[in-house]
Amino acid sequence: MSMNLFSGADISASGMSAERLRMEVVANNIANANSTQSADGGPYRRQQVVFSAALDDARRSGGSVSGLHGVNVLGKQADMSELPQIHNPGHPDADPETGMVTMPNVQLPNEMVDLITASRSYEANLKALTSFKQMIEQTLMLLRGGA
Amino acid sequence: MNGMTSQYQLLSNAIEFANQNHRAISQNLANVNTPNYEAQQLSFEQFLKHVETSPETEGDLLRSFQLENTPGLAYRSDGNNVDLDRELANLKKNDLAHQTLTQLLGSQLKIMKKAISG
Repeated sequence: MSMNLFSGADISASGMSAERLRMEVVANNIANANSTQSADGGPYRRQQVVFSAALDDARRSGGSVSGLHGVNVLGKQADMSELPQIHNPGHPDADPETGMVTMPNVQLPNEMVDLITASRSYEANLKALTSFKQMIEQTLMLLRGGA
Repeated sequence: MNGMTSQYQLLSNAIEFANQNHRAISQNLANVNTPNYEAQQLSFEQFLKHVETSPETEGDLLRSFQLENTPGLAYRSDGNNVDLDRELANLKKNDLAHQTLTQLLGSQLKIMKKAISG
């Protein structure tokens, strides 16, 4: 038996850290909702996290349960959807001829939905971790001679 | 094997099943936002078959826990079919089952202790 005794906690922890990263990315998107300049030159582009299940290797080798490893964060991806333009001639980044400013493609309602989803998923993982702790405690109680 | 020890074996097998089941549920919860992830569950039939045929071999017990895709779930638009409420309910159910089993095992051990100490 090659698996770790407490690997149940690792699974939940991977989910919690993934959801936390998602929340950080959402916060960063909201913070940059009006950033018209970025390192790439143009306005800020909304970022998204990409998750993948850390299960694939194990499934190829027969699908035993010891291959459950939680979730992996593959990385962040920029949202390449169209950047909105607003008319604001006084803006430093406005087009001198048309007066249009290219704004980031961050939409607050979408970010809020993402934030709530991440928060609820975080809670669910935390719940799994708490109940894992209780299970371990109960099993250990057997050693103390009570139950 | 006679009554008392085989009961220990049976209970510890069942507790191990609850442990592994918890891991499968945790895996589903961790991947609730992973695109194209399909919900997994332990195959109870495989486990039962294993326990029925060889209840006293513990070496390959872990091997007898096989995963299967949970049938009958609706897919979201991102190809994921984890139902958060269902998984949380399963988590709680599994918790209670584990609690029951450990308490049973505990009282079995107490009986044994009483018999020995008189």
